[in-house]
Amino acid sequence: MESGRGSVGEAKRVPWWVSYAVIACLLPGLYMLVRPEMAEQFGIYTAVISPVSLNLILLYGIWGYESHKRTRGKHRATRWLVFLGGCAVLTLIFRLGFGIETIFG
Amino acid sequence: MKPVSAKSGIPLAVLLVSGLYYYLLSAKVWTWIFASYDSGDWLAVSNMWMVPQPYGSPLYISLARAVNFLPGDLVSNMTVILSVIPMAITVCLIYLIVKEMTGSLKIALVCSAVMLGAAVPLSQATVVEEYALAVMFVAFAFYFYIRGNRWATALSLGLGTAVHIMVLVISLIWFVLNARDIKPWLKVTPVYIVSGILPYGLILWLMASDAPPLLAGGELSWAMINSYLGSTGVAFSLSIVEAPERLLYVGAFLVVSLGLAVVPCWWGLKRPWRVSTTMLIGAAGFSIWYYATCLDPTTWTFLIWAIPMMVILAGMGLGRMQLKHSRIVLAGAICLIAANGFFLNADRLTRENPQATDYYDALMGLPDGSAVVTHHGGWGGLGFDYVYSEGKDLIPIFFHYEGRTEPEPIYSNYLAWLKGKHSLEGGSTRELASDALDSGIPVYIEVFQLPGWDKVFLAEDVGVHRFKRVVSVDMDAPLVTGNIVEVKRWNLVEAVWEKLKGFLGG
Repeated sequence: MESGRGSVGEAKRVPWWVSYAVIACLLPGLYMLVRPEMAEQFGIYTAVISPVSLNLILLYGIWGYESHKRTRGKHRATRWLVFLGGCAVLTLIFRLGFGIETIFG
Repeated sequence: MKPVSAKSGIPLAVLLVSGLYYYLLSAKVWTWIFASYDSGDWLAVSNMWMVPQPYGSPLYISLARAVNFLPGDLVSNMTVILSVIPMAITVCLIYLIVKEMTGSLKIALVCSAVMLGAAVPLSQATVVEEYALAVMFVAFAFYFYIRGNRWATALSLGLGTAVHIMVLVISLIWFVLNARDIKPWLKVTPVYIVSGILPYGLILWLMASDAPPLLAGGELSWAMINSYLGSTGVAFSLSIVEAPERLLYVGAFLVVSLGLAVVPCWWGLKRPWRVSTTMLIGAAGFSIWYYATCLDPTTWTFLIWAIPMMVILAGMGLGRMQLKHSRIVLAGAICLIAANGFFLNADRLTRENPQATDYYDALMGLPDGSAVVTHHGGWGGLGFDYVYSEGKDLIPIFFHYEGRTEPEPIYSNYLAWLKGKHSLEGGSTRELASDALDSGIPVYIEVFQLPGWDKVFLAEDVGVHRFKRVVSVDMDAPLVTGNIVEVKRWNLVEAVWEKLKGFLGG
């Protein structure tokens, strides 16, 4: 459907090409960002450990969003909680099992 | 006789064009570009049987051994046969899959162009690495799945698993997503097990054999297997403080790979979802999640499993959109193909900065019978393994980060092999180097690897390119721990008990 022209009383829609334009504007900058990462030839890196991992935050965030979105469906929120809780437990077991630590020289 | 239409030649044309493009951009000499430091390992196992890095990639190393018997340069042969051709086949499969799912030849061609211009798959198609072959099998599996051929699906997933263990997870995800129709899938599970799991018996055999334990091996035991598998374990552990930068890179790699196809990919995610759609989302989602949460920043290469899935989703999205969207996405893909031809040209970038070949030549230039102190793994150690496998008479003294309280089977077996093969004795890096010096064996260390050990080794410049000769070893220097992650071995009970004691103030 053509968009961009709204009739009286209707909100104007974003033109179809806008999303492509945004991506096209971002591409060169993102390209230059990843290219050195790809072209790097020496793979020594330092690592930072924190008690809270991105993984757990992502899982909690997903749970929170889904729970809020589906408040009218309690069983759906509970199902997400059980699933994410299981993922978090598995992640914790994985972390505890390997006991990852950093050693800074 | 049914006339052959021009359209029947399109898949072949896609295959040939893709193969030519990847070949032109591929590195013609050994390189470490695009996070391909593991190539030293693959080239070494191509020359001789040995336990490779975890988890073994039995099919890939077997094919590498086979490629070694072909005439011509080993690096070129492995790049073309095990990277260029598989990825070109993958592009062709994307065309066939999207055509099957959308019924549109034009959309299928657009998606194959998007796939061709995708940065992450391009990078792995143009160097010596295992990912192109693995993702080809995953693409085959999805193609056979939508064609309703369960046996071929299981076989493809099995072969992919035998190349890279990540495909095991993708297979499990797809199996669960098809749980409502489980009985026919259970019937083909033996095909998967035979083609995907049993080949890992090769790695166990190599552990038990007398292959040089440069990375692992020397015995077959639960301790060795545990030590071997535990030597890689940085998944899902990225700290929250590093999250913003990592999430930025996740988005960047995806956008740079998909280009303007990001927009129709979003449309392809709109419900209702078929089972095949959930399979695409599941495989892509796990791949993205792995890189997003992994301690190792070089695992952007694992996005290679996400990109083809997202390209297919983009095709599904284009199928719901007007033709003008396909035209603009195609234009974007052509721009990326052109840009990559210059900016991500592995051949050009390698010639401009030939680190790997420089390291190879430097090692080859060392006097025969010398000892080399180097990383155990990484670009330095795996590169050494390659040179060693080429028959160069060198003795490896691998770095062992000091202060460990438990002997590791991997390192213990390496020490035993070193003693038996090269008559060097010692329980640590500095002891081995000291014993070598006492035995009159010249010891060298590469200049990029010296920092961190410069208090232990007094090394001097003797006019050898890239290497310094170790003059003396300070046995009383402080312990060297390095600044990379040390992964402890799996010991869940002990780890939980230690954590509890810590919380209780013990």
